[in-house]
Amino acid sequence: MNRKVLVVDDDPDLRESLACLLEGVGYDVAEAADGYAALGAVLVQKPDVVLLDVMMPRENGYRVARKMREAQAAGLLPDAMKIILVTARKLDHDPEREQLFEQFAHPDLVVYKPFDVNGLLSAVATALTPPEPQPVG
Amino acid sequence: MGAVHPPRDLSETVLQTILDLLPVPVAVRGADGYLYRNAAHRALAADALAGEGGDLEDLGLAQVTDPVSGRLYLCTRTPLGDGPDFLEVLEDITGRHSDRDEIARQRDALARDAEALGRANRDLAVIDRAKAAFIALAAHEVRTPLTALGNALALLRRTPDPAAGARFLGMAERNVGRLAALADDLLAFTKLEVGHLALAFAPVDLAALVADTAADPECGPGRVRVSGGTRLPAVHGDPAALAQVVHDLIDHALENTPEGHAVRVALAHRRRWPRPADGADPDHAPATPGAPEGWVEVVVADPAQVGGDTGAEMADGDDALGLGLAVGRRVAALHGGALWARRGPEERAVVLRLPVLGVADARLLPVQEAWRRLPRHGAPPAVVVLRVEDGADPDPLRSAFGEDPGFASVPETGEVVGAVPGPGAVDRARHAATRWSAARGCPIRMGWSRADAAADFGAALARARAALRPLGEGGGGGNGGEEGGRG
Repeated sequence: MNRKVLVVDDDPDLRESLACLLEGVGYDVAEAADGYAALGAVLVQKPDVVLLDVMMPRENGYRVARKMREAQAAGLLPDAMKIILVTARKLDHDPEREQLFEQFAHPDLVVYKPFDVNGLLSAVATALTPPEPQPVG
Repeated sequence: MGAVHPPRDLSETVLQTILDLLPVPVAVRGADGYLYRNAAHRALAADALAGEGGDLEDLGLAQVTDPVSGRLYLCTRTPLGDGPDFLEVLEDITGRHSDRDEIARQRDALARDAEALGRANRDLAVIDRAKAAFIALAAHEVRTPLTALGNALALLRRTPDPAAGARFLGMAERNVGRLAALADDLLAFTKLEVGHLALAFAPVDLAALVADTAADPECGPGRVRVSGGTRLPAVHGDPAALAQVVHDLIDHALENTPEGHAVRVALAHRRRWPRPADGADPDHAPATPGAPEGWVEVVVADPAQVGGDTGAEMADGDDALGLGLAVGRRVAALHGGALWARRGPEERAVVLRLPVLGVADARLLPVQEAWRRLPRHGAPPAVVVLRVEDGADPDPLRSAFGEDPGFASVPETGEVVGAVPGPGAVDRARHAATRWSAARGCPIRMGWSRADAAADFGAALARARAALRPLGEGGGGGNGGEEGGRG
């Protein structure tokens, strides 16, 4: 069975292009256009990875990510679900603030727009790679 | 003053006679030197004068001004019982006192310069932060269409299907268009910031601008609901610039509004600047050249959920407004108004408020903007008012100042009003007006006023008008003070 990616972005072109790219390399893709829709979709679709935009109407990506983490903690979503923030909001002029937001959202990865397509696909693959088993003792 | 040297052994009666006769009770040795009681006394006096000794009174010294010559003397003061003290001149300190005054003045001037420099540095730091935030905002706005364009090109490269290829090509073209629009916004913003965007002022019906935008088929049927647009006073502004702001406001709200929901636009005439609950700083209404007859308000609200700490932080400032509305914010300021974001639990709104100004005051908005841009750390800027007499048209006089955006003619008052960088520019304006007046035989009155500490354009304008004097009379007329129409 193919791995499933939920693409959340309010920009229709970005949503469509990401979906096509991911489908092109064998993922199943679901889409959501805003934060609320993402929270609904994630419960129904149970994706392996969520590619989550930040600046969206009706709940921003940071808050959506945090709610997804809370849902994971409550057992409503699988622990293995990965969250990748995909954001154009790179606060180079205020890195501390950026760090604060990321601590709040607790994503597995952050990808900044504009990204290299291969780089993004690689980030998705990396997020889905199980961690190496640690030697015992 | 002649040399008068009362010997020490004079009787009290004689001394009293001398003291009564003299314009001030002093004894002066004359040009051959000063009279001192002794060398130690002289040294004490010198220390006291240099500010290193004790109080003059403690040393039995006094400073006495001769009311006839106006000179200042350092004197010893010797009590003589019931009569007046015996004063003995130690030194004519008029020059030294002047030097001390001059030093004090220079010290004060230095302190003022240091304060101005500190203020300028603080302003620069604020500007630097704003610039960094603006660049971050612009970069943020560019990244999304740039990413979509990159994705479209990557897909074009990968797909063998012509139909899919055409779709991705359309996507690429669409995002090139978005990038071009952003470039236009950036250019417009830059022009606004450097003062190169000339605004043409005319009465503007904001309700009509909103109605036109709402009726645009691109908005979609029923997607914009307008209320309160009747009987609004016109504002004076640049119709094209304000139409763009209204369009951007509504367009931005539509982008943030999911399908099935509507953007609400509420228009109102407000008599006063908003209350704190309205989200604008109630104590800092934008400056206007005159007293506005209220404000026309356009509130564009979209149903966004932005509550919570992180959401609230993210909705602050220009991040929440986008680049197009950052341009709108500057355009609003150029019209004496303001634009700001307001958050609520169920919706987010952007508020545009523009002052309802008379025509004459509205014509001065560009001068006020020029005034705002003048540096404050050197010579204080000034407002110059030139009023042509006999009901003549001031427009030809305005042309004497070329393309300077700091000058505007106001036919309603017969004035040309200018914001100039300092006294030298006031003189240049006076000379230009004098030449113009002489060439046309048209009398002119001139008044000017420097910036006060608050750099309030309206107050400086009022003072300049109050100081109007005929040019050419007594060197140009005026009050000869720090402000006026002095030639």
